[in-house]
Amino acid sequence: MIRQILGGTLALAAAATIGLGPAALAPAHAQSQDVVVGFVLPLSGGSATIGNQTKLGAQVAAEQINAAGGIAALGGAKLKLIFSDSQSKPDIGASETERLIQRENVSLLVGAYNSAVTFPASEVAERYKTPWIVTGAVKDEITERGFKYVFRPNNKATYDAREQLDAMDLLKKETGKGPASIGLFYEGTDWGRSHAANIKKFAKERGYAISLDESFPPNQVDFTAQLLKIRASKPEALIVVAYTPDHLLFTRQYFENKINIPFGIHSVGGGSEDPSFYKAVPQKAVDYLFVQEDWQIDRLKTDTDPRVLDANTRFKAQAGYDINSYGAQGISNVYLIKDVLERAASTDRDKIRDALAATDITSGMPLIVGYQRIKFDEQGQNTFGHGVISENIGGERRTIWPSANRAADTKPVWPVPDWSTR
Amino acid sequence: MRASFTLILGLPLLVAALILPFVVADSYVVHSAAMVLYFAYMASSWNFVCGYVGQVSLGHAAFSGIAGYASVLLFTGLGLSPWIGMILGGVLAAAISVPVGYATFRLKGPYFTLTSIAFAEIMRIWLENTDEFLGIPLKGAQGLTVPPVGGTSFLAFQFDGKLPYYFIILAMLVGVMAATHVMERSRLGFYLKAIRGNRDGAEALGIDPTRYCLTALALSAFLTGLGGAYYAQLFRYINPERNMGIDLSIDMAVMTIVGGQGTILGPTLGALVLHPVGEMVRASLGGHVLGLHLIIYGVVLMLAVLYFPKGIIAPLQRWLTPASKTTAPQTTVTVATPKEVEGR
Repeated sequence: MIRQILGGTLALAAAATIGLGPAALAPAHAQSQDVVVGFVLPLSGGSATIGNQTKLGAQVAAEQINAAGGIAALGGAKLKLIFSDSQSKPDIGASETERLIQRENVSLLVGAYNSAVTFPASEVAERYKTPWIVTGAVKDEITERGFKYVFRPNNKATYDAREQLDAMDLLKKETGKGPASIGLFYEGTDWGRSHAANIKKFAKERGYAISLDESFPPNQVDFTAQLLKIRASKPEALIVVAYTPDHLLFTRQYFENKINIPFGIHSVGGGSEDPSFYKAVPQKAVDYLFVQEDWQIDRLKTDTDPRVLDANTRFKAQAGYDINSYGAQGISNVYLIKDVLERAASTDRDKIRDALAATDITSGMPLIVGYQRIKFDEQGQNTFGHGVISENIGGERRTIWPSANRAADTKPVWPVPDWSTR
Repeated sequence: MRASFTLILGLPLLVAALILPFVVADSYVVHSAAMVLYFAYMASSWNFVCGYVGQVSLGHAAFSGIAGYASVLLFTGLGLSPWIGMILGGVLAAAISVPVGYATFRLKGPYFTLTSIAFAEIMRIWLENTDEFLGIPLKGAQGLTVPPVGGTSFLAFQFDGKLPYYFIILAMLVGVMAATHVMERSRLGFYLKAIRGNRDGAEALGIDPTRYCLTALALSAFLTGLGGAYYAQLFRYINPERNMGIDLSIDMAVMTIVGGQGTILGPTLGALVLHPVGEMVRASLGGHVLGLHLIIYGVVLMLAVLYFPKGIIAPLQRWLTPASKTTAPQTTVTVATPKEVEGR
């Protein structure tokens, strides 16, 4: 019996070699002067494209900073970025956060696009008193938990909805014309449902009627029935929430059906932020499309900052397209980290946290996404974070809201022309 | 025979699990180990019915989600301790499993599997699209969060360190193994094995397959539910996609099948091998070569199924038990019982 149990122990030892493998994995030791920044992003699975765009943006920014001499306050220390894959799963994101903190000894963390991953993963960071910069995730509650180490430069879900109506209000003020009723057409997911709920709340406050409230399960094969509903309910403006595949299908079928919506289609990003979207539909189908995204799309045309242009060259060399919203957020996150490290002059997590809390940036590369300022409230939310809304005019996506980001020669087309006159 | 084998391998495993957090006082290892135990627990709960009845359910995640949601809602809505919520959630999952099983256990093989997927997917899609049900805030696809009470509270199932979570899931795993052990030796266990071996033959002998399969399913759903509630407390967050989605069901089934279904230790061995493999390749490759870690995981899975069709427990059993013939000859008698040789 004892011999048997010994045999079992032997078998176990073999299993333990596998089981404790991750523990035995030597952490890639950074050189002492490097600052290690961990990224938890969806690098495989459904939102892999977005995760990889953020990753590329972050890498481009780190290359620039390191080439320009690194972090001056730390004697020219280089930024070392470590990326890990959350697979868009909350438990894996939390485990990876645990690993980055414990094994890779990161000074701070960035992540994780999916709100469902960011929520539990940033809690792990909070528990270990490791600063966490939220990228992409918009779930309101992320910065409503009274945490001290979680900071979100980007906007909350409620901001997205408010901004779309702000843009309509602005155009109404400028022209005296605006929609009386709004239709909602959204995918039945976390994102779509919470956005629709927020729009309904703000629409009620501002006196817009909701003439259509239609959700659809993601990855549709035909929108004909829904388009009939849209045609019948005659919304004067239509808010659309969809990722690339559905957005493509919807746009094609809407174009074929030539439904007139006088104050246009207002997309809250997703599919319409994706560069491949514009390659897959005829230009006529996206004429006058309003898109809300966390990136000022026409910035590259007007910006003369050599760092922005250089970043775009590097980004395009690898991605094959210009910087987009998620690439820009990656760049912004890393430049924010540089700013913070210069002020903290330390790789100590608590000192970095304090420097993050004291952030007040009003110019430079961290604002590449189009914000006027980054300053966190006591909950870690950047109250100056906002999206930018563009209108597709004459084959170009031109920023129309906020007016501070609108170029002088941009004239919004409002209301949009009838299909018969296009 | 099998009891002694379970002991031979299980006892050192248990001892190792008990001392691990004290030997490696690193919370990443403790967290990873807790996740291994969680998957071992979930796979064992799946094995409780599927491994013994021989029907592959890919809908078990629904039970985890139902109980997880129930425990969180009872805590946030009524202030009921998650410990009680966990039990009530498990009971709810068991109650829901009976009508589902009544309809699906009539089907065999792929038809049973397909309907189990359909059931879980219907539950998930309904939950993702329901913000409020009978006044209960389900919050749809957003998922539910467990508000922190601040600090450690046993009653609220919230602890500052990882250790309590680790030992809770370890105790749960030992519990499910003990339950499996008792079930294996009970009338129910023999009936289930008879049904697995030859359903028509069992029925001819007067065994009511539906009744006993349903009993086992309800117990399995209850156990799976406890696991779902544990997950919700560990991460303080639960959403339909992860806790009711097909990924979780597949994980449970795959770990059991790779480890060895219809055995007490098999599911745990499966989790002990597969979870760390997934974790290791992700840690070393996840950030560099896109998707490669998932491919490697898949290859390991294929090799395991190819070379150990009865699970990795089978070669271990062969290797560890010949010695028992000399030390404990009386057990060799049971080696020849049909349950050992029948195909699965």
